[in-house]
Amino acid sequence: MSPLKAFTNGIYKENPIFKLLLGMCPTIAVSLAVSNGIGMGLAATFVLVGSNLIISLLRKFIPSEIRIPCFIVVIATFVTIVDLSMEAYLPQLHQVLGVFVPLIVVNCIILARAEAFASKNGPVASIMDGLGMGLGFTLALVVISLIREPLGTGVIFAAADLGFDGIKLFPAEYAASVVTQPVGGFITLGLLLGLVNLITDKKKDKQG
Amino acid sequence: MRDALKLGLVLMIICAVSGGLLAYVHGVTSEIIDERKAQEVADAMRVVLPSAESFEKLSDDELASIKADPKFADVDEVYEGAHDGSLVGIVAKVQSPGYGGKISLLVGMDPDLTVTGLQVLGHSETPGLGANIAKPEFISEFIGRGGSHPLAVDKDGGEISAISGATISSRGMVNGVNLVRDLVNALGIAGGVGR
Repeated sequence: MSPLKAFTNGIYKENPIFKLLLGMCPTIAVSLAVSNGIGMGLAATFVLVGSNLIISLLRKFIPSEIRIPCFIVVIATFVTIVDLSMEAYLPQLHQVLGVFVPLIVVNCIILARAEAFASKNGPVASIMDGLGMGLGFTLALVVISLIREPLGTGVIFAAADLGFDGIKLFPAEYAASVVTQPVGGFITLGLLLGLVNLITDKKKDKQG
Repeated sequence: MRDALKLGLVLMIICAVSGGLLAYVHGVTSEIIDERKAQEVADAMRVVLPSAESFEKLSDDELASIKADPKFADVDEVYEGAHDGSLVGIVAKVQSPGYGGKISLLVGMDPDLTVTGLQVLGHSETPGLGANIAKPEFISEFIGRGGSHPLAVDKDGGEISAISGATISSRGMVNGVNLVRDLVNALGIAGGVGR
């Protein structure tokens, strides 16, 4: 696979949330605000690129029988190093992204890409795959948050950590707080998945 | 047998390298992180008890005797704030159970049991809901409140308007502040009388 194709692949054709259905837990948890979505997405992208690169470089050294425990150790180490270095040298950034880092450890997209892509491809293609998958994840989180945040709170683009209260669309009393609960997350995600499938099917019909 | 040995060896090498790397990074960063945290606490104390000009930390023995009472098990640190040699209040670092875990609070309280300042040092509440406890709008609910009676959220008949959708997180904050109130009473400094 060419590096460019590996990059665009993750954004739409194999979008981790809308197409591969990976990383549902963090998706439901953080897609409450657009700023959260962007923060989580960017932090995950960074870790994905790094872990894909390391796994790709080590792919000849790691025997296939024990690849999963090796991947987990490598990913957990990488995430912890990123977390500690960020806390020490970039405290402001850590304050904003810090809450998402522990969530990344349990994000199965990272392990899935190590298993499905990085362990079979060279470092350049793996970096591009990590970038594409990460941005695809970010995009999907932003799309879901764009629906959940205004419906659930009446405000959009709120970023508490940056001291920005967001744009008020309507009073909070009229907001449907169920949308902010996991139930609302599943319903929003389900409707969006249906929509994406509808569009994909239409495209296939035209081609066929 | 040979295979198993080889697999074990590879896994061991990866784990050893990872462990070594982590130990190194931790060693380099932990000093910086601890230093910054101590600095943050010092700055925060001045904010939560503005009337004090100097702070004296309660010694480990004194703290241990406070924590011997199970009610005060969640008190982490206590500082006495003084101005011109007289006690103007205390600053206490306490933990209070919230919705997603413990909320770490720094509470400043004067001898009249009024909250002079409040800071959320750390929490793991739900982003977008309970995490709003750290917002200035909610924290300002507490400042200047207290006095004759313990605080409570509006749902429990009190004066603190709980964050909608995050009553448990809001209650956690109130409980943390009331813990400090009990502490001021227990220390015997309530009513403006020094030790």
